[in-house]
Amino acid sequence: MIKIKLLLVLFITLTTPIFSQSGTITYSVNISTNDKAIKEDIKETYNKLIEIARTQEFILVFNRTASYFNIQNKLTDKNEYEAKMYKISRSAFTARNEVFTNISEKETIERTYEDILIKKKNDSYAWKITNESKKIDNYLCYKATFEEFFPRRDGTQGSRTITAWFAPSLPYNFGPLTYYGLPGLILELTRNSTTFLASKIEISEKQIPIDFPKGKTITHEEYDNKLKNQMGM
Amino acid sequence: MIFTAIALVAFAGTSMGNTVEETQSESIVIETTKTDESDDCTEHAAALYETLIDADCGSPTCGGDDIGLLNDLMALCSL
Repeated sequence: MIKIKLLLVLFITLTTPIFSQSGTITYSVNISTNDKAIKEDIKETYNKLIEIARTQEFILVFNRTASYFNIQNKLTDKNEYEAKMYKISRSAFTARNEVFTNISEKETIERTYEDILIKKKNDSYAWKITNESKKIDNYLCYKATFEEFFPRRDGTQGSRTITAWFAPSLPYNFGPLTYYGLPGLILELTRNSTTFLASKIEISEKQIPIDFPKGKTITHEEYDNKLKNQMGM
Repeated sequence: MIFTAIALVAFAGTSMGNTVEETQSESIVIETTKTDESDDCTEHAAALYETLIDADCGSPTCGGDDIGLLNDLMALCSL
C-alpha cells in the first residue's frame, strides 16, 4: 500500500510540470513599407493607419491543448473617428478578431467585433522547416514557411508566404493569428508586410484555462456574405 | 444631397389656317451648388481599400478581397 502511494506521489511530481504548464507571449508589431507609390490623396490616411498598427501589442495565452490570441492594448477614451481608424488598422495590418485555437480538434474560432463566431477546421499546415536559425529573446528559433492560398479578385488563385520562427525548447504548437502546428512556440511571424515579434515570454507552472466562446458558429464565407448584405452589395 | 441639375423644356405650337407658323421654345436652367461629402468619403474609402488589399502584390486585382476591411472603411463615412 505504501509502495503504491509512493509511486503515485512520484508520478504526480514528475508529470505535473508537463501537464500543467501554460504561458503567455506578448507580441509587438512591425509593418514594413516598400517603395510602392501611394496616391497623394490617400497617403496621409494610409501612413496614419501604419503608424497606429505599429503601436499595437498582441497577447497569446496558451496551455497544452488550446490558445487565445487577441489585442493587448484595447483602445479606450478615444473619439469615434480615432476608434474607427484603430479598427481599420487592425483589419488592414494586424488582427481584427479574437482567435481561439484547439489543437486536438484542429480548429479555430474567431470572434468578431459584432460577437459573431467564425469556425474554421484546419488540416495541418504544410510547414516547411529549414535549417536557418536565430535567437529571439535567448530562445533558439528555426525558420519555417508555409504557402497560403487565397482567391484573388481576378478569379485566379493567389498565394502568400507565411514565415515563422519557432522555438523547439518551448514545445507548444501555437502562434499568432490562426497559425499553429510547428513543434515549438512561434516567436516571430510574418504575413504580408506585418511581423509579430515576441517581446515578452512567460511560462507558468499553473494551468491557464482557455474558455472557448459558446454559441452558433458560421463559416468565413457566410460572414462575408452577411457583411455584403449589410453594405447592400 | 444637393444636385446640379439642368432641365430643358421645349415645346412647339402651330396655328390653324393661313397664319404664319410660330415655333416657341423655352429652356429652364436650374443650377445649384454641388456638395456631396458622402460621395467624396466613399471614394476615398474605396481608393484606400484598393491600395490596402493590393499592397503586397502590386496590382488592383491580384490581391484578395477583404469584406471586413471594406466594411470598416465604409463605416468611416457614417461619422
